Amino acid sequence: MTFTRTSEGDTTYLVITGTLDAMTAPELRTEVDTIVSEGHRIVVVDLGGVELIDSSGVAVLVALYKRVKANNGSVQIRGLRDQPAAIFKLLNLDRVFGTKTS
Amino acid sequence: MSDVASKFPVEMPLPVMKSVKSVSDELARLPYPERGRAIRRLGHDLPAMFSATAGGVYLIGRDRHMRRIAGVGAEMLPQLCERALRAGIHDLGAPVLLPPDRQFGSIASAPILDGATVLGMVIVYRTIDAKPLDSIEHGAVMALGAVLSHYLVNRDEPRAPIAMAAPAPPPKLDQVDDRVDDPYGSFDRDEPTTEIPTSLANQIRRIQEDLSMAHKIQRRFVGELPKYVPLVTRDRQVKVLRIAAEYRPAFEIGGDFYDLIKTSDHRVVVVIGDVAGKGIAAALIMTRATTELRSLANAGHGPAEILAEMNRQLIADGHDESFVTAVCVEIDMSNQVIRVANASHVPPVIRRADGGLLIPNPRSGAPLGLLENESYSVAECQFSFGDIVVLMTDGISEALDLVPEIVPSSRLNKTIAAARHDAKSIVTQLIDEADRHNVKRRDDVALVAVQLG
Repeated sequence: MTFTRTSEGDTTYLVITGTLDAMTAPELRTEVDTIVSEGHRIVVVDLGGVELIDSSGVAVLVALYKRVKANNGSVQIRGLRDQPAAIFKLLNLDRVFGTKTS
Repeated sequence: MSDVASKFPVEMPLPVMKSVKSVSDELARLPYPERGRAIRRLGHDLPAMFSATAGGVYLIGRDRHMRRIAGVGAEMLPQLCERALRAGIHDLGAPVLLPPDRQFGSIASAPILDGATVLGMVIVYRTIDAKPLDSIEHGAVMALGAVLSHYLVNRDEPRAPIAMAAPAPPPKLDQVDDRVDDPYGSFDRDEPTTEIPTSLANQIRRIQEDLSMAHKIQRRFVGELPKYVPLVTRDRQVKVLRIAAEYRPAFEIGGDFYDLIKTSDHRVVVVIGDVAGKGIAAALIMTRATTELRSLANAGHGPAEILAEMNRQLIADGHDESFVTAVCVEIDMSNQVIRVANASHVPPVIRRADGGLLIPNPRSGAPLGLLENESYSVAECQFSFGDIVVLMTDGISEALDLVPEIVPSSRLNKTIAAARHDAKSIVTQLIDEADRHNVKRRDDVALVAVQLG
């Protein structure tokens, strides 16, 4: 799993690729901590390159969502496909994260 | 220089792990006996947090040198703690010690620590292989370290080293203590051995009670439901619910839970759920959820209100990284009605005597703990005496095994339909099926089947 973070104006983009599961989620968690502590309020997460996600991966994304939201910010998810999209649908998370899950 | 000495630096900067501190904060907030359960769960999770180079217990003497108690595994810890206690570790004051465990026999009189003064205890632990830590002692080791470090941090004394090591930096060779090889290295002996203060003895006893309660709670909440629950119909006939349940924790603890609560002579509430995310938060959330559930059910709330209220509580608790999928089923024998609410969980299945299946399907709400003010819907249907309700968990990792499709319930449905019409057979068949198809099972399996009279 790899990720890159970039900024354009007020928006922070986090692009994740690979498998986001119990083994790799902890690395992302650290990045989430940084994003939150740096006070970013508009966050877009691109999961187009994520092939596989499990509940640990989902949990880290949920943490990002809740914490940015607690800072009066918002998190959008883009690029969900295949298995991750199905997981999000199963968990009704497409409702939580908004509708940009194509 | 010995091999041991080359591995273990003597003066290690020992950063407090933020998460360890928050663990001990959380633990301290939990009432007994939930704390015991949380400690139990912690034993599975904390070791993964530490990628130290070796396992063992180290004692830090007044000379600020750290010595490893050679050959120590976690199973020795209760004895060591006893010795450390006698040696005056009460300096630290925290309720960190285990009483001797009868299982390990009598504690040998130890020359090592009597009369010594120990400033701190460091527990550096790694899992040697991929086996989960299963014993209560292991969990206690971890919780112990967490509580210890919390205490040391809060005492704010520069001389107190902190427990629970992070990955150790490479040793500075010129600082290595030759004596580190000697498991019974000498300590300062100018402090006399002191009696254990009563308050500490009480705390020790409470920890011991917590630990044994954790065993009982584990077996009770997850694994042991009553087998028969009598309920009464409107015209005062007695109908007996026959219940079968199975809980198989897997390597990675998924935090499945279930419970069955008889709330009146004609009403029973059954819940099954799955706490997502691993680790400490999941453990604490599960204990929270199961406690909340009982009081809500007993207060007469229906399934949708129960889920909504649990959702509110979990959001208020503020665990960032977890959420709970759950199904809540209310069985009302007075009018033979089943009511079901669902928070993004695998829906329950009702098997009729003729093998036909009914899947009550309320609109599913979001998992608990995610969306504020989420509301849940109820689906209601009549049941016939003898119908069997099957509740199950189906971890996401099971879904992974069937990538790219999410687990359809058809395989489960077929198994239920093909089984004999009794609760126990259905549970057995489903477990067998899961075992056959899910060789590297990475999530808990939990199942409850209730035959309705």
